[in-house]
Amino acid sequence: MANLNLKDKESRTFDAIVVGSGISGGWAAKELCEGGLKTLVLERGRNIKHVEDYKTANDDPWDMEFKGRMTKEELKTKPKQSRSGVPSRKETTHYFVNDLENPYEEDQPFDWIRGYHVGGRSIMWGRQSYRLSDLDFTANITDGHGVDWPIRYKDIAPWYDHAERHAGISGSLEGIPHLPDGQFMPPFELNCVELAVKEGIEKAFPGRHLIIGRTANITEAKDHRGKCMARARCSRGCPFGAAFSSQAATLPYAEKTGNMTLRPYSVVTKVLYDAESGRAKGVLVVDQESKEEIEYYAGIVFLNASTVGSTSILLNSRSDRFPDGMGNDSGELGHNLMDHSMGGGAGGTVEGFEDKYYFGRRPTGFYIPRFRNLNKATRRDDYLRGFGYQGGASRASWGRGQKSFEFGADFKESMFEPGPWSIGMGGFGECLPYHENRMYLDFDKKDQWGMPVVTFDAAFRENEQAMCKDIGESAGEMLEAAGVKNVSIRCNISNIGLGIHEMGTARMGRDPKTSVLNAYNQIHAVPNVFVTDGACMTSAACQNPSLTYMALTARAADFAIKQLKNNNL
Amino acid sequence: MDRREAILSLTSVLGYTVTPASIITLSGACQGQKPGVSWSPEFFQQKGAAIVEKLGETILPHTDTPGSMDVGAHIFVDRFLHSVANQSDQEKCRKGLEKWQADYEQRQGKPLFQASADDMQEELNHLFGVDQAQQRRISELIAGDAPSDSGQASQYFIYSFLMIFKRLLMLGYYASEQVGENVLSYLPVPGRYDGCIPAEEVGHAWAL
Repeated sequence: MANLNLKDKESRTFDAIVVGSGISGGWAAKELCEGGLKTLVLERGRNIKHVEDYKTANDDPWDMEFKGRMTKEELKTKPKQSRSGVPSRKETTHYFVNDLENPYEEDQPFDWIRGYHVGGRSIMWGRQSYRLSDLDFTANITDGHGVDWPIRYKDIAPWYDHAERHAGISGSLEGIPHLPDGQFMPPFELNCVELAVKEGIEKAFPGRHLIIGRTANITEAKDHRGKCMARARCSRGCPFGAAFSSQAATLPYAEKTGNMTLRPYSVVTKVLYDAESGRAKGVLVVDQESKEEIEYYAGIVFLNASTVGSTSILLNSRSDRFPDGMGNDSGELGHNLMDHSMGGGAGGTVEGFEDKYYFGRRPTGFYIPRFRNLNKATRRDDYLRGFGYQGGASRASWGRGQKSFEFGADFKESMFEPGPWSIGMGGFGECLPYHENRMYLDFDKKDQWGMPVVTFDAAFRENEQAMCKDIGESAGEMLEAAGVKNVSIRCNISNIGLGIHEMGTARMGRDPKTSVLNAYNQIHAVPNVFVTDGACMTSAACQNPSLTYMALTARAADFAIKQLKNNNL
Repeated sequence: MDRREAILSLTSVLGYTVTPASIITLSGACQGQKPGVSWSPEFFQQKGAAIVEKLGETILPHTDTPGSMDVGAHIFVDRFLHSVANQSDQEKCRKGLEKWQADYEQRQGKPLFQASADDMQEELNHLFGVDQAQQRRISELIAGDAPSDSGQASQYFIYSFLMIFKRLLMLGYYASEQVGENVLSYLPVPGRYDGCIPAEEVGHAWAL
């Protein structure tokens, strides 16, 4: 990191500021630096050095006290983060916030699962990477929920190409119109049971597909990154750099240009507004450790602090011009909060294949793309939009004996053998963009950095509930048709937030009266502020969203660089 | 790896404080020469510790592969119940072990902690060797809340304890270094993924 002289305004002035270093922030940093802009990247948390700081990357269960389970004492600082599985494990818990130091409030339950450190959730994310299509970009205008996306697939397609080529997405070409193919590295294989179930489902339900999951794990070496070693320990930080993270795949490229200054421990609380020019002039940072306030200046600001983080900063950036938060002329800032519903799915056991097994631990599963409400033939009367499934088949481990009444030498030995095959899948359901689903700041309560506390007032509603029921039933129906035995279905819809796909709250749109951002992710009324994380999403689609953030960020950065060169910002 | 080595590696891996003297007596206890235990239980009382040591070894006995005591799986359960388990599981285990002891003494006329290995085998045949219909009934019983009827409650707590104990014992055992690295098929860095291979090429199940 450059040695900053904090007293010197010039040393605090850059061409561009990027707030956040997660998936979209890392991309903004890379694209802006490669575009020749001196870029300051501000990260609120500590630094995590690639490889060196992945302390648990090689831990086996027996290397960890309690095999990775956390003690009651340890969980005391994670009452909310531990609503999700990964934060509750010793291997990964250090990547999730201390809830006591980072409070939020809930008018209605909302699981806000996050990590504050360089790389953000790009270290622990699920890496599933799917394109949206025009089925998604026209969804709002077609059924009248939310506002129309200001872009179509053709606008983002070249940027998906760009993002996939650089990030390294492994996947198969399938020719499914509403799940467009991309620039893929070689796919992982489906295992024997998945192949058999694929055949069964596709035969019984023409038009449905079971494909290998498209994942941001490189299957061929690329630059300094090694290929995936099939360890499936990605979310601990991948020491091979095979799993996409900011550390592995974006920040090193930004760094290499010599244009990046990365400042950890920098909590951005406000974007600074210059009334005279009608532009942002920089940001206000509170040093995470010393609590000192420091202003940084730049010609453009990219907000990539996460959906809720970026919108919080805007809501807190109040001025005479923007009394309700920067860019909030429409009153939509903080509204239209979305996530993907979880909790619907099915599972069962598969007979035969006892002589078959697999080698290695695949960092992805199978994917069943959306098949509902694509056209008249697939229209549902009980809900709008659709869902996709993620799942996998595997042979049971010794864990299968934990609930049995067996004991003794034979039992012990039998548990050394691979158990029966089972298969399971769960859906991610699209959530409609409801104005009523919102987050806001409680200005009467502040955290230790002076930031008003985020409060959630959102829920899954009738449409998501009805869809979740179908997610369970359809999964069961497909598995049964494919010959799976002992099929059980579930449809207990999750809290909103548990999908860890927060989206919306500063949506893109065509009309400044009803949206916060334009087609290039600029705040309508403050064109040198770009928001390119999940906050920009106009609808949620049902695909895992991060690839879309990467593509939108690269597209917006390219636009910003060109505008700067033409003095248009 | 011999037993002493196994115990030494156990203590270093799990970070348990065991003095050299207590390792010697622990080794003695392993061979069944002394009643009681020489490790310091955190959750169980001394008598309870003696019982779970024998219970663990009866569920996962030493053969030509390690047993519960070889890897310290019963100690793992004790530590887990103390530091990780929720209050409800702790309560079920405390009450379950108490009621089991009372029940056993009434039936057999001697305290459970004095049960020999053969006695424990016989006792588990009695408790676990029930037919499938009974197993289902018991599984349903312990999935719910404690019944108010005292006879039912006794069975509820005894089986709750036994099933929690068995679940944790298996975690402590199969996810131990000795079993994970030396008995199961251990491959920390596979290097590739093959979706469909003959099971015989792998042998025992994957450890990871």
